[in-house]
Amino acid sequence: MDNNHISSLFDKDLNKLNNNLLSLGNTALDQFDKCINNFGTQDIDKIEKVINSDKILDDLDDKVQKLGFEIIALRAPQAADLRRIIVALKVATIFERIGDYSRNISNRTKLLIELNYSDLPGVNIGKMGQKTQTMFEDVLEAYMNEDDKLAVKVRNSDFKVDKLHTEYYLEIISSMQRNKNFAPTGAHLLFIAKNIERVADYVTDIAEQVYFLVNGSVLSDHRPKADETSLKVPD
Amino acid sequence: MINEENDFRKLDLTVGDVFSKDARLKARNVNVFYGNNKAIDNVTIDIGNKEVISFIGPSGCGKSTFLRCFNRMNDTIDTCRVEGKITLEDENIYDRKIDVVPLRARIGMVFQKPNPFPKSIYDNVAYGPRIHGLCENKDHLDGIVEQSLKRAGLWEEVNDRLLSAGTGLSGGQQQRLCIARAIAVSPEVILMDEPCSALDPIATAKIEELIHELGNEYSIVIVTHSMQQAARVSKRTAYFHLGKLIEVGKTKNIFTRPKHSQTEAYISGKIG
Amino acid sequence: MTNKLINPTRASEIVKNSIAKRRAKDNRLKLYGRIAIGFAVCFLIFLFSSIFIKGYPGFFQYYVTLDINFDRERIDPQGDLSDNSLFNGEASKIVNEALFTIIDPKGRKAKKQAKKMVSSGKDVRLTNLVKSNPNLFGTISSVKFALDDDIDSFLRGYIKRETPESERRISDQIIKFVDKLDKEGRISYEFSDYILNGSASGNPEMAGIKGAFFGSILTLSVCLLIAFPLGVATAVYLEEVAKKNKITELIEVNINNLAAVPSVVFGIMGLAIFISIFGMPRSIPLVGGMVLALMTLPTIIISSRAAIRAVPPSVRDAAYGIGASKLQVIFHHVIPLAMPGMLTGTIIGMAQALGETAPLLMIGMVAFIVDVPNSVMDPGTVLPVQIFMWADFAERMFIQKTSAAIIILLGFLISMNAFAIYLRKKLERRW
Repeated sequence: MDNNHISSLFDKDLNKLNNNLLSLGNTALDQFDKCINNFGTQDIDKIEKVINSDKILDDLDDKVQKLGFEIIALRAPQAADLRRIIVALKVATIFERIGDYSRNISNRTKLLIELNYSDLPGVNIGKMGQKTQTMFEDVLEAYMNEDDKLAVKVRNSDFKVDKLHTEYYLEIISSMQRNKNFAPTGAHLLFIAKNIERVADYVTDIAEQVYFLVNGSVLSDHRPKADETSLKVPD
Repeated sequence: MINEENDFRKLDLTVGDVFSKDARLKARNVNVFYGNNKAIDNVTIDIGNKEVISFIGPSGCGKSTFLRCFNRMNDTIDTCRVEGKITLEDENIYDRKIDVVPLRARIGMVFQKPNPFPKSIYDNVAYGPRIHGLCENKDHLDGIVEQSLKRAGLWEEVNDRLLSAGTGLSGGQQQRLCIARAIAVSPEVILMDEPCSALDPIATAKIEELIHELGNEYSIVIVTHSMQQAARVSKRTAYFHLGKLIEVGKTKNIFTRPKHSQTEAYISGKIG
Repeated sequence: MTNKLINPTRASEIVKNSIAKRRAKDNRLKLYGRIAIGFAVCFLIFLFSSIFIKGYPGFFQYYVTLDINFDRERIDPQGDLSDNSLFNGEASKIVNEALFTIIDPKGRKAKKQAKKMVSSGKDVRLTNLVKSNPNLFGTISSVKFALDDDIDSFLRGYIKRETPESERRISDQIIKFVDKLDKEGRISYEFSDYILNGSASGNPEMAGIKGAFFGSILTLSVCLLIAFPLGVATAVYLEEVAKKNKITELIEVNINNLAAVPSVVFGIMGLAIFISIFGMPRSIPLVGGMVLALMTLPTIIISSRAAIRAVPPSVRDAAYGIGASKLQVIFHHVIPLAMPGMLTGTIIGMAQALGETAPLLMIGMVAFIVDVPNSVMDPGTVLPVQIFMWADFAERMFIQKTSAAIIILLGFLISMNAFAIYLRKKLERRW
């Protein structure tokens, strides 16, 4: 990002905004990484830490909102600067919501541990999580480097996560149909899978924002979707 | 001082932070008349140390008139009468014993239309130190001229033609020359009366950046009819309307959540 | 409310139709202007050419070449070239002898008339010649002498042969002598060395403007030295220092009125105050200069005030803003910027003063002064007064010399005005 406005104060404010936003994004990524790992390791202390650290994300989001608001009020940014600020404000909110999902996943993992959950074959939460993690890392890189090609790649890989979600959904439903006692565990598993799928959707939103930031226009074609869970009733 | 603040707030005339902890200039209950016309109505405000404060308001609201009270430039207008107290470091500048000539070396002024003297660039900057006896010898004077031009961001552009006419520079350069001229006498406060209104946007941006740097050394009071400029350049903003001071506060607050409804109306372009 | 504005297409049609009339009006106006300028130019050409035609001959006069015997013992009896010795010498007689050898007058009457043929300044001419060139002693050399003004007029054709002798200024005998000199090729028409080097004289052939010229310069110098500082200081005081009240308004009205007062009144005032009350001598450039200064002051004050007012207030603001005192603002900024206007006004005032006759007549500069004044206390006269005096004399040659002097005066005036324009262009500053 080339920041050489004649007003050095403007540059300073923009850099501050950007740094806070990247900090927010990296922390959200870190939280997500941890909550996926913790699902596998089932380490209660680490899970608690993730839940308690969610507040950091809320604070960072507040900061970014306040800074963005002030820059618009005081600097009247134009063109690319304006897009950057607007995108930053939107993306900050998305990071914060991703953080909320990480917290929710962690809470449900705690409950699963109490229910003595052990692996359900056919449902590889870790795999889904890692695919989403990769997307998240890529989208952060795309944002930092203002790389619209990478952003489009991220956006087009959302369907893979959707496919996994559909698979796991069907598997969990059939498990619940076979064994009534499995229902509470299954319910949590469903929510966890759904949350991860929502995170991937959010990451895709961010990718579309990065495209808008670089090009000034919205991606026109439809996002490839493969989540049929809301479309079909399982038999 | 604390009592004064409380009494003042009881009157509830001006909204916002009128007083500063480390004030350079203090204006108290200032009224200015042109003949029988009241141009400034009971204004009280502090100008802080090393801060940039801007005066905004619709045309004719008296901001330029009030600005000119600080260096007694209103004295040159026969029909103008100033009442009230303005103190610079606890000395009332309107006291009869005060000589206006050294006052104007401590409080410098930059005008709307750049007005360098029809002399060389060197002589423009050297004039002030010469008449006030601030330099001991030629080398010292050369040093003052160089440093003033450097601080005004003009040295790089003119150091090879110091003896050419000041009026031969572009508008933005001329205004920076006027700023250098004001700096050369080591003022404590610099008053600027719409310094960029005669300049194009690039020259304006350069001068605004310069003002931001100068704010680390001097107290700067800017009158501007562009609120966007006030938003960009000043830490504190004062809004005037029809001779009254309506609101003073941190620039960020004035432009995001002003306290007074009139301020809100002006900022959002609802009244002229 | 119905729309009173005409619709655009109709409006442009109307404008197009009216354009012919408006153009015609513009062109008529231009034509009137050109005719008026044409008239003015014609008059100017007429004026200048008539002056020139009349005055040009005044720069020339007729000379007679005589062979002079530079006998030292007769010209310089004491042998030391002192004024006393030369005065006691026989320079006049030698010249006459040289003349007589050529024309050979017979009889006392003829000789008497012949003696008057050469200008009465012949002795001065001869003695000045030997003073500057003593090597001439012991030689016989040709010297040109100016002819008497009547003969000069005859040679120019103003006195005609055909006129009967009783009505002519020169006799038939003289005419015969002139013809003889002419036949021998001794008469020449040359650039006059009297007009510029000679001073006032009763003899037109010897008259010149040297005295008046220096008198003018001295008088104008006094005028300038008094009027310029006083005028500038007054203008500065009235514009920059004095408060604007009824008194200053009154002063301004009075100064403007003084500029319109006939100059002769200043002469009367000078006579009454400087000469009668202060007892200063008459006819000296000092008093003349003082009177002219009084006359020129209003002009200088008015033009200086205008020049000061033209200095933009932004310059004053800048100077006050940096902490200059009132005097510093005036001397460092206002006066230098107003100087071109002030100088122009002053030079124009001086040019006016140069041509003034009436007030100087009142203080007695009409006296017949032969010597060139050396200081402001020496009696002198000025160019316009000289011209005025010459215009009074009847001799024909004076008429020509008067016109010649007018040309010189006009030349002086034109160069002063040209200088004013040059100064203004040079000192003009952009601010």
